[in-house]
Amino acid sequence: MQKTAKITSFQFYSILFLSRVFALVSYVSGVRKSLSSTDEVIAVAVACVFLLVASIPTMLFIRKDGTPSILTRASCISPVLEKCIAAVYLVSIVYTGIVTASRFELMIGSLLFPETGVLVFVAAMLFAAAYGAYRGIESIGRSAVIYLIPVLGALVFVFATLINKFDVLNFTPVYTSEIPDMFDSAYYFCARTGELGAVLLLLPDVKNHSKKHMYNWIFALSAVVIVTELMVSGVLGGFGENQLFNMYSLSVLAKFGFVERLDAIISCIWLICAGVKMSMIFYICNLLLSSILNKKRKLVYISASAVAVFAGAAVISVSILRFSEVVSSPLTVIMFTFTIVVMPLAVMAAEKIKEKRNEKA
Amino acid sequence: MGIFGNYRGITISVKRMKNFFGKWKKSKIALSQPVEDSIDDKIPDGISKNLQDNTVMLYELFGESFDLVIKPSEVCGNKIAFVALDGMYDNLLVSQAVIHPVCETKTADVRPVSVYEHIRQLRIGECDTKEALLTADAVNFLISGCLLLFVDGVDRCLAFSVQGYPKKGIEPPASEQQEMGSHEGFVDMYKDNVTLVRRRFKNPYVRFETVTVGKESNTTVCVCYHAKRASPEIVNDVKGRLQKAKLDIVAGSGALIPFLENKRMSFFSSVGYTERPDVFCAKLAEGRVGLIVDGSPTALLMPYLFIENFHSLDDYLSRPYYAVISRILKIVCFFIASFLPGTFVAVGTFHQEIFPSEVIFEIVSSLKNTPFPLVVECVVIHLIYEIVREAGLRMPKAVGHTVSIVGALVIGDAAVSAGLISAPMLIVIAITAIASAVTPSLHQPSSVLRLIFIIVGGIMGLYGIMLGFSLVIADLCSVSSFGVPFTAPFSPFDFYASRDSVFFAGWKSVGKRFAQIHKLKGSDIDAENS
Repeated sequence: MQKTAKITSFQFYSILFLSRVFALVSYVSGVRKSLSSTDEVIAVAVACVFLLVASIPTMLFIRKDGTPSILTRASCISPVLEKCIAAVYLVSIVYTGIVTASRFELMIGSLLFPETGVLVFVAAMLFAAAYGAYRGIESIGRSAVIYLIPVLGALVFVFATLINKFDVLNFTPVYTSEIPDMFDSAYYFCARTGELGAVLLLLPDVKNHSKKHMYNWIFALSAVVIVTELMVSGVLGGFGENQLFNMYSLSVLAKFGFVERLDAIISCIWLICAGVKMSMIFYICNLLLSSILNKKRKLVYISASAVAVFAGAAVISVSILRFSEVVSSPLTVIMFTFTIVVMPLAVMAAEKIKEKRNEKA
Repeated sequence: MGIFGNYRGITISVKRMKNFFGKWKKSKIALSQPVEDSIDDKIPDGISKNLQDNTVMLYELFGESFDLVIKPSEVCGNKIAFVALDGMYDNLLVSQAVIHPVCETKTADVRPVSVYEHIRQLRIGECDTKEALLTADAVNFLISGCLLLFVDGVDRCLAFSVQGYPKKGIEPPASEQQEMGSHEGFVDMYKDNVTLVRRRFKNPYVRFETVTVGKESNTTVCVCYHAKRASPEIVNDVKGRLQKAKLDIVAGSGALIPFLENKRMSFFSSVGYTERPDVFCAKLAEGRVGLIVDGSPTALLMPYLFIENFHSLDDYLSRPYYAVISRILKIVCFFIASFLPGTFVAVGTFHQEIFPSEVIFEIVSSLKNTPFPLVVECVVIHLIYEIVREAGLRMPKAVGHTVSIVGALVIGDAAVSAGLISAPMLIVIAITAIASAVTPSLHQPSSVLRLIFIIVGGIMGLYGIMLGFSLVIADLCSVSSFGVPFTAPFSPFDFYASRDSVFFAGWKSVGKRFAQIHKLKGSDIDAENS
């Protein structure tokens, strides 16, 4: 039996989906310019359109006949280009890891254990994630499919139990916010879907990958994001603007029968997504470091990435203000634009130029 | 001196240590010197023509073993000797089928070779006769229970298959009692077990090949598979791993499991086991490879999936809806056995708001009235339960019941009355203990996980439990059993195989298309750690 890929397409997109769900549930409102509730929903819908547009370079990059990763294609053009691209992706992915770990710390520290230092929790999560990454992408992929059920179940549970608290009166009139602010917010929201970069890097590991699967993922993600935003605005209304984590606030309100407080369980289920996301990040870090240094030392690279992310998170999450400064900086948007839009286009352009040169020669 | 007698040349490889200390020098530390290595040097390769040399050689080889029986005799004026190991042969068969016809032999040509040939050609109807030319072969026949016949002046010997050692009869399997299945279980003798399988699986494609494992014990391991359904790669892989198994003694089939699993450490075993021939046959039909180890009533099966821990024969013989409920119940019991005490400690310590408002006062006040922190209380009770369980298992049955009563009534009731432990905690541990008995194949991982989760839950709350859970899932998901994902058919999802997973669609549906284990989805993708 010919064994080529490591995970199925469904497993791969389950990883990406859970990864994005963590960004959704750990969304800190008020970090950037605040929009009114209705405008926030519109901005999210626009963000989904932006995401679709931003995915075009990736779509163009995917070939029908088993796409090699962006690194492999870059190495065919020039080994130096491969290393440069790997370095850019490494910076981007470590940054994403630091922001994710900071969000995690903020969430744990402010909601679950407000009276204790939670760096040890972050360390434990990073250890678990590094362990998952060390076990390989198939371990992450299989885990993601298993987690998909409780994570989606928790979302559906919260939405289903709060549907009777959904009030249209909570929506403000449309376009009360500035239009440029809405677009800015939409692009920022879109830029938080850095998972698209993973598609470019992990393509060879995925069996029977096709553009259709990617479209399905984008549409499923857009649906979940829009429904979530509608529920946040419709249930919390103006109250949501004063909350640090809107999704957590929703889970506190969710009641079922005689059980009145399930927020701890629900938030713990959602926090699993952070582990999946960090595992993927560490796995990619290992891939990129192997490419840059031309040596395969999985344990060393994963450990080094985990230490770097922990150190970064420890510095950033000292205070909510510092976290806000980092998260609201244009770095997220720049990284997203570079890794998702510029890089694949640049590699494809370089390929064309090389082809033409070869033809002339 | 180890529990298995004189162990020879047991060594510890320090290869692992070098990873820590950076010493890449391969070395071995001998814990004990080889016992009487010189004996091997004294044994000649071929059998001597001189009868006395042969008997001396056997005495030297077996030393002062009382069971070596050498009976000299005479046939047609030629000295002969019968050699056997006492207790390994059937007395009646030996005297009637071998000794009597041999001693009665009369030939015109009395030369030793002619007498030997005459005996060899005698039709000894009730036992198989083989010839040994080498000393090693003769010794192998002898220790297998054969009767050897040496003739003075002949450099060969005859081996009569007259084995007849005491053995246990076929009994219901002790660890896999079923309501509706057969009441026959595997026994210690591998040939009897092969017969039990053959009787149920009348198919020429079912193959039984033997491999010898154990440097000192020379244990026969029978590799069983369905030639048309099993993957040849998996069959060869199993044989290869068996041949590489460096064991002096095969104490039981469990001793082979580490050699059949993937190299890395994991909580869960990717090798299944059964004591039931009917289950064994069903698994062979799905393309699995089975191992029957001589001297062990437990047969091994591979590849093995995690979900199979929740299957039992009764599921297949009951109504499908009941089978589904039974399986869901077993899965719930595994989760209770592994996570309930830890979750209770986490909730009781950090997240008391989760308790319903109607009972929160009773539970919390009960927990607060005990002198120890919840986590300490839980660990102590859990340890007491494990002690009672171990005592119940090892003690004679009559005493075992007494231990259970003392554990349950005296310790439990008295501890609650004295206010040392809370009643809710005792209830949680009792439920856990009962639930852990539902899936015996997962008892080992769940009992260890339980203890870990109690401590983690007490330190980090529900978040810690979830973190530990994610580690367990990562471990579970990284296991591949001979290339088949351990988490199949759920991740990767396989629709056809899922009809017999948590759900059982019934024989009419499942029987239409037999699922072959190596064709499950995910088996065709590269498993990095397999």
